Amino acid sequence: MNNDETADEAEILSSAIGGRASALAALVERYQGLVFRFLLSKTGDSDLASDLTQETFLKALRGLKSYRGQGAFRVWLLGIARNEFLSDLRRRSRRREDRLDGSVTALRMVDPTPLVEQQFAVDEAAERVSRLIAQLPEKQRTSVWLRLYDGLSFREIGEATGSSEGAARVNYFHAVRKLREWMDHDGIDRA
Amino acid sequence: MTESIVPEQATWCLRVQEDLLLLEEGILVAEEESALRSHLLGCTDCQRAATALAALKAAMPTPPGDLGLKILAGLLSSTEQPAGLHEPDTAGPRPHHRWLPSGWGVAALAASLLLAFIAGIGSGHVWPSDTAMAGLDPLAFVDPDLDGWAEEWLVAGAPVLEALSDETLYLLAMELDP
Repeated sequence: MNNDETADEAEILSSAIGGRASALAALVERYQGLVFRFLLSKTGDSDLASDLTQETFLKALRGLKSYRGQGAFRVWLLGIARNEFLSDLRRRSRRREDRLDGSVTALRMVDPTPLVEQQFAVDEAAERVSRLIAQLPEKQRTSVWLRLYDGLSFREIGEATGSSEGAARVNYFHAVRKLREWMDHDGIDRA
Repeated sequence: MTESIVPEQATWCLRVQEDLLLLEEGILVAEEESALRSHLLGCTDCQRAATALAALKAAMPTPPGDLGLKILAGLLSSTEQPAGLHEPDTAGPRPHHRWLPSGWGVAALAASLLLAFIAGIGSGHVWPSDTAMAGLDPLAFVDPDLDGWAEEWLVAGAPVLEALSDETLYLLAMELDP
């Protein structure tokens, strides 16, 4: 984010905290894609990611005053999204344990395969790339999306995902290297 | 891919490939940008890395078109007040426990939020395109018993209401009071 964007964001945040409806709408517009992609990378389920995105924004906009400018707003927002995801995972796990009559159930990630079916791009090459991205481990996928699509720095990705800047960087470059190999194999990067 | 590349060049390639996104974001200083572009011109491997990055970017998933609407509708129908978004001060009685005004007030506040949302978007489609709402009368949603504070919202929101389609008003009404 450059200086102009930072200043612009500070103004929007200030207006939103002051109660301007247009500023709240602007925050939703600006960050819905980021939060949705972050949650989609973790859940692999578009409907669930949409629901959790809504919950994230409801909590964030109700609690805007608790954001005191410490760190980037988008990282603060992703922190709420991450908590929503973890809470949902725990709820699902509890329900599953109940269904299994108390047997131990490990928390596990949702199968990312459906990501492919939720491909929104119509372009065939993009669809093939999406299939490859869906095969990445979740942390690598999240790092790629946050860096590539939303321009977060590795420090911000680390903060948002609860890991270090170094881990975020390693996850990203491992993922990109792997994707390039797969794309090379598929002939995608020769397009 | 990098088998035939000498170590110095491999180091350069690594750096260039790390910086490809920064180049796109326009945050490299002029000298760095110039060096990177010169390297790109003569390095097939980095050119392919750039192509691969472009292909990855093209596969960006986007949220469902109505997600923003759902978020805003959720906010509007919430029983909890978002930070700062408050009722105007008034001594009059509140018709509901909910923090929202009713009737035109709701529509005006909703319109303020949603018009801002739509106007700021520039990214296209927010509403379900297959919903036919032709012929609906937006005045059907008017609450004739405006109280003072709802009136304030009306005054603030009336200009934007005029810009909203019947379909939008219908969707708002359905979201707020199904």
